[in-house]
Amino acid sequence: MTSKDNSFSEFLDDYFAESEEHLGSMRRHLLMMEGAVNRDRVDPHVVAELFRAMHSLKGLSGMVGVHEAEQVIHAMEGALRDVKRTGAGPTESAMEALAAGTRIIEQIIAARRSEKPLPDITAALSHITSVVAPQGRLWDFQFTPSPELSARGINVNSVRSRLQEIGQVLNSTPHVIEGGLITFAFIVASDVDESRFSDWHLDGLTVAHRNPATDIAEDVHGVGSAAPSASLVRVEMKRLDHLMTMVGDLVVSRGHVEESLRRLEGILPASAWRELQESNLRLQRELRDLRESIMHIRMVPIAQIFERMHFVVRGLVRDNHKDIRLELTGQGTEIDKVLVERMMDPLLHLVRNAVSHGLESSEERIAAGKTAEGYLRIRASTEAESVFIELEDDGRGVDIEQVVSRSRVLGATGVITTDNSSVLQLLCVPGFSTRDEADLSTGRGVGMTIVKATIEGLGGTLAMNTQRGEGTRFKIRLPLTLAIMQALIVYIDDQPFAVPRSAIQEVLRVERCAVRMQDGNEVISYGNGVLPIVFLHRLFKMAGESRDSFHVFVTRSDFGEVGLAVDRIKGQREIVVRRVEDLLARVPGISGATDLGDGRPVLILDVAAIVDTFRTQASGT
Amino acid sequence: MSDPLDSESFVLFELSCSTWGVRSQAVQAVEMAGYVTAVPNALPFVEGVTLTRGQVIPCINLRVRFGFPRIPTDLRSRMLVVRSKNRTAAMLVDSAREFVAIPLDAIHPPDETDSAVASDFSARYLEGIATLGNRIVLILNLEEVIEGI
Repeated sequence: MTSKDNSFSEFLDDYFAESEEHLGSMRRHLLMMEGAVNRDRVDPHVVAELFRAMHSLKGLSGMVGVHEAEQVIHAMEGALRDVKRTGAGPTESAMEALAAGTRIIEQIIAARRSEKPLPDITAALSHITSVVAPQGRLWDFQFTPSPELSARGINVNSVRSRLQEIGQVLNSTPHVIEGGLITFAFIVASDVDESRFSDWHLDGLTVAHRNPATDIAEDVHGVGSAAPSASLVRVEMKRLDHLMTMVGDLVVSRGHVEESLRRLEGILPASAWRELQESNLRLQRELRDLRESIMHIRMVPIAQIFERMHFVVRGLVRDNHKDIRLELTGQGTEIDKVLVERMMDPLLHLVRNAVSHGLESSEERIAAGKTAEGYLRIRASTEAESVFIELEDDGRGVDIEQVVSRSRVLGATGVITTDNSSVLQLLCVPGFSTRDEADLSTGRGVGMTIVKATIEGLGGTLAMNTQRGEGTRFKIRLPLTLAIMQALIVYIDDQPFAVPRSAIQEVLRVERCAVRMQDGNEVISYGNGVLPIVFLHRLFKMAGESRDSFHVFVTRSDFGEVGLAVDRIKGQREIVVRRVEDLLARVPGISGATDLGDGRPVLILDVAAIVDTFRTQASGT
Repeated sequence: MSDPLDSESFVLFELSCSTWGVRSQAVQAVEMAGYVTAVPNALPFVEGVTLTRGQVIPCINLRVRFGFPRIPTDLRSRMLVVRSKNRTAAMLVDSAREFVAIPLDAIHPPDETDSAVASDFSARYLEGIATLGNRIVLILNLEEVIEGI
């Protein structure tokens, strides 16, 4: 019994992994097909790929007993069959139904995966079946409006409703013909007898029997594009993690070797030592290559997230009756698979916020002197060891007064600063929502608190730039990879700590006499202004603060630069991050530990948390 | 009486002049003290963190946990890596050298006099008392030590 259960749950895991692929393919090809809405041609390859993905997912879902997904796909296949029959693009409503179907399948599978109650599919099913045409013959109607016909009350709208009476309009496309005239072509599926429209030519309507399109294969087992997958292997994430851990161990072992070599310098004959050192350095290079190769396996194009965005925005635009152009750039940017999974919900939340709250309705936009159509730009890029994701809209911007008054309600006292980073901090306070009742689309997801916490938990940062009436931009920075990073080794008293290189902007040497008080903070002159200094000795209740000179590393935070004072900085090196999971050892300001090669754990500073603590203390005084 | 089925094996350790026993099946390793990194602002009895098998675990100073004065570690000091439920932790003790089987009927629940032996602070960590010849072994309630935090 148990072994059977085990193999079944493994099988389910496979199902979830594979369904993700088919869903991805469905989303991708639906987006491609969207371009053909109300056109008289559709790329048969796209339709065939859609059939293929849907068929595979349907089969799999049936096998593991996810019958709700099976039913929805079955209905969707009906709608897609209409597209196939006509060989022309789908109608707006058919496209909508297919997109809605895909979304509900996502929800069904996600619910199954997290063992939550499944969504109700009745509405989705009836939505999809409502767009499916009855079986019947296909007819091509053509209507050319003219002033005479129009005088008799016959125009494209009356023709459309006449056609809807006899069957289902599967496609309608306007064409410009000779002489600059416009003619409308309709494809209609109808069971009624031909005699019914024998005299319609008097009303400017010509009709012909349409031969079903033959060039679209519903042959789901066809070859062609399936061929490249033969050279792909699917690997469980856990195995890659294990590989990564082993590489981490190798990096630590090499660290041991380097330590020993350092001690042996001057003891061993110079030539022998040099030879060993060369081998050591070669090993270092090779390890780095190995690490990068493994990292690459884990990297997936961010397009995976972007496709979801497209879908969500599509649904939201419809629900909110807004006119929005979604611009995506940098789809090819590669990002760690783990980051993709963890970032999905936070990004979707930001997108929902932008569409529901940020961007205005067309009327509002025109009244404000803007273009009727708003935009939402999402950009991904890589720089050094970081991935940047930016979301920018040209909506109304954050209502700072509302944010301030809401913060007052939540108990904020004293002067509330309203620069971009302070406003972002306020927005991320737990329980913050300027709407008394969260509306359906935004209320469902995670709050800004979680967005910020998720990003910071992954070692990233979130920044915001908002301009009243002009829009809002969020900038997310994430580390390229999680397990191994470059770090600076610093000493507080006699204890070493590691600081992620990515958190450090600059390193300074400071004489104690250069520190002065300003607004209750200890600062030094820096650039054209001052730099507040946080003494880590004090924060960590350690000795060593009374030195005449010390080192400061400068970090950039939400509210400007901050200097963190330590006794000395020993140098930079590659560290393997080990998480500290036990609550007894999880303290503010420490994000994990590493091993520098002597078996002694070295704590990794959580610079963002330290700056946060400092900021809270500073604003409390 | 001495049937192995009726006894359980314990790792014995010394703490402030008393002998304690912890079930050996909960003990993953006994190591020399050392290599413990202090964690700033952690609870007072948390000596720091230590690395064992690639895992970073907290090290609990059992003297401090029991309310005895802290003493510097020496060559006799030991770290017991123990596991209870989902937590793995190291316990710093004065020394640990013995591994014994204790007959189950030699263990009896603590009464008030016994608690006085163990000191007021450590009474809640006392699960029972065993008499081995002329020695008294205090049986540790491990769960209370590392979970009851």
